[in-house]
Amino acid sequence: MKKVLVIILLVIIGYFLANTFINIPFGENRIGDINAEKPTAAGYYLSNTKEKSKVANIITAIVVNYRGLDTLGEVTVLFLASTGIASVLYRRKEEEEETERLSLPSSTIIRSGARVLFPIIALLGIYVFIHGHLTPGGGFQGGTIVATGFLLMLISYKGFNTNHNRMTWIESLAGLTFIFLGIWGLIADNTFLGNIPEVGKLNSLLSGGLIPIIYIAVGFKVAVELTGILDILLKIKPKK
Amino acid sequence: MIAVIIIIIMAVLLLAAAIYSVIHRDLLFAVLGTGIVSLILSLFFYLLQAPDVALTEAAIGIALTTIIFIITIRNTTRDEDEIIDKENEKL
Amino acid sequence: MVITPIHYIVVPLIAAFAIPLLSKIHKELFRIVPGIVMFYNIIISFVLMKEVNEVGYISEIIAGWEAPWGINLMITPFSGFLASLISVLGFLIWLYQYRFKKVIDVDEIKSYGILQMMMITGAIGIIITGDIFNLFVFMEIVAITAVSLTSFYRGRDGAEAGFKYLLIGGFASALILLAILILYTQVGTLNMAEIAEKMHTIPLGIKSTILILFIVGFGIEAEMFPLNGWAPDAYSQAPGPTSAAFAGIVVKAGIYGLIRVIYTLFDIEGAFDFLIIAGLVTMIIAEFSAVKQKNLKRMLAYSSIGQMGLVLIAFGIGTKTAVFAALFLMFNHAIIKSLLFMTGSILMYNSKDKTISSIHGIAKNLPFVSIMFAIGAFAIVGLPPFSGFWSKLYVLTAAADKEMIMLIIAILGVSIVEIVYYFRVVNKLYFATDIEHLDIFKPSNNSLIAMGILTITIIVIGFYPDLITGYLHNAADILLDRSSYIDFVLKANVPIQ
Repeated sequence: MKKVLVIILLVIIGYFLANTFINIPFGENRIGDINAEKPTAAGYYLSNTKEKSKVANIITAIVVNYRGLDTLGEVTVLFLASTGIASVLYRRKEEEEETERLSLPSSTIIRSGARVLFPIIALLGIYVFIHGHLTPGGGFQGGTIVATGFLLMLISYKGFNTNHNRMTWIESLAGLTFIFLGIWGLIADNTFLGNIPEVGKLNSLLSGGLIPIIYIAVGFKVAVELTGILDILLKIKPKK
Repeated sequence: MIAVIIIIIMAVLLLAAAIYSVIHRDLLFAVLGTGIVSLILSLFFYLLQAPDVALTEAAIGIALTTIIFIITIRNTTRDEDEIIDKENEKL
Repeated sequence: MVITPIHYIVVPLIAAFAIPLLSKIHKELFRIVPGIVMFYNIIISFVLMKEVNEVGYISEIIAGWEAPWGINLMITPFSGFLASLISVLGFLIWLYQYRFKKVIDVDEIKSYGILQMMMITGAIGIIITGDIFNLFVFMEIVAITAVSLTSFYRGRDGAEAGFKYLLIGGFASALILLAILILYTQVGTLNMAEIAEKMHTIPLGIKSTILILFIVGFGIEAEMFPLNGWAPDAYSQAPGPTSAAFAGIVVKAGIYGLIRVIYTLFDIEGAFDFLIIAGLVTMIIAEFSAVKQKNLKRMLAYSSIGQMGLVLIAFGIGTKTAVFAALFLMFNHAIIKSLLFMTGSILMYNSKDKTISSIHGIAKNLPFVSIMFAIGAFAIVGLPPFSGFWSKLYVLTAAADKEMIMLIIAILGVSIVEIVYYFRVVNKLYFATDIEHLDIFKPSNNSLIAMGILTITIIVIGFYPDLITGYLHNAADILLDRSSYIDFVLKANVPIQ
């Protein structure tokens, strides 16, 4: 009886939401005239990024420069999630006996494959976040790829341990780099996260001012945090 | 013409994987269903000419979310209604 | 260096990123760092409040791109007042929990300090932003820190309360994100002033859908009925200072989001009547549930939900007196409820099973704490000469101006129910003397100073409410003035340079 009522309620809600989405014309040009006097936000980004910011990838310019405060907020959310997981789940080793990550050794294919693949995956991740302002990609994507490489090593080898001390240093230093680059903008340009785009020319590695440096810091921070979270999760003793 | 047929097949696969992951009782297969939904979604983002979003969805949705859910299943229970069945047996 | 609104966010972030490093250098330094940050927040809030009272609005641009194409932070008298209140409360809560006895391990104190400081920063961020997606990001910060702090004591009850809050809070964030998405496809911008300007071009069906999604999403954070099922569990399982922060700070940010959306963004007339009905239902059901509770913290949680219902009623009535009364109610509720949770937590620490009946006659052993709890109870019920009396008087005046007799009867009836359950606790504290208490946990001096400052504020504002009514009248006037907000951001933009 309850299931029937819930399904009816969902149908009503679905009807109203579908009514809203049907009226949006997909596939047409809804940005408007990008050279008008007062364009929409999307039109302004499209027409002005090449001259004013000198960054080839407009998405990176939007994420780091135009809406930089949102990116700072998201990096903070990831940091707080990692702190929260550590405070709820992490136990020091002196409290219990050794929690083992793997009860049986993994098969030979995984062990030999992981040893070869791990440097390649890490290199791909670092490439993605260093070239964030030229090709699609960026700090979050590259950091996640590096963390996936670490995960492969963590589930293949019993003896592979990550050094929590070193990871805490890298994480804090990367976060402080982001904020201090923002404060540099505050002191030099009088707005937080202001950019200095006169450095370099378009489409080369050294272009776009502070944008690639911020993205590299974000990439390191995301990689280290996700590896820490996965390490803590894998060490919980399974209940049998 | 071929492009439209492929897009329709992918959309139907998306819906089927989503419904499968809600209905099925074994939690491991349900999580794999969620992974397939993320995979097809990432391909759709690429077809809509948004490569950044496609790369983000592929990296996070396919690899990380599935792995974290599998670790959680390892620590709790693999069968969805196991605890309810045990309670019913006791009564 | 010029003091701008961005300092509210940047300075706590630097402290939060640096605390894990500081604990490796010096062992005791990180206990005081949150206190220094909160004190700096108080200083900048005074500077900004003085400036905004002369100028009217302050707007600051981030990253050098002006208003509709970048993000801007706006301080109006309403938001400046709330941000100052939250800064002061944050500092007092830190003072109360400095060397709180139950948490001894160094790692835990580090995480607790970071999470508590960032929860307060996230709430301030919700209040001072002028961009709607930025509001969503700061709401995510508040949600994640609140869930981690709820399940901080690793036990089964805490985990269950935290899990409930996580699911329901995640659902709220998803609904708000959906509303922002639909709004962006219709209007093409994410800046609050420009959305308010273009709001009349959206057809009515879509506008209603967006408004409903926003009300449900923000209602979960602001504890409207029937969306407040998570609140009693979360308040009772969290550590003491965190419950005080929930009641005084987080729920205010939720109500601010709801009011900013309804008053500034939308121009639908029926929204105000809905607020009155929702507030009335919330208040009646919450207060009647509070009578049956045996656990002191759960009783305080239900009472807090009821007070929020009264605030929603006052915002729903919509006249200048009503909005002024609502702001005064928010101010009083923040101070009095924080005091009640602080004293209640110390009283509960002395009982084995956390029920009211196990603290009979403890007033002999803990005199200061009991008298402060009693003053808080009298103030929140609305007895003169404490500050709660004035706010309830103004709400009833505003309701009488619009001739809503049933509303006045309901509010007075609910006040009688409040008297019943608060005086029951005070009675048990003072007059029942049949249990001997050994091994009392006495609060340390800094906790007493923090609670004492709140008590003195209640008494002083009770005798001289004119100290803050000037600010509140100004804030109420500017909140109701929709077009001056839009004009300031978009046309006559004179940002801080």
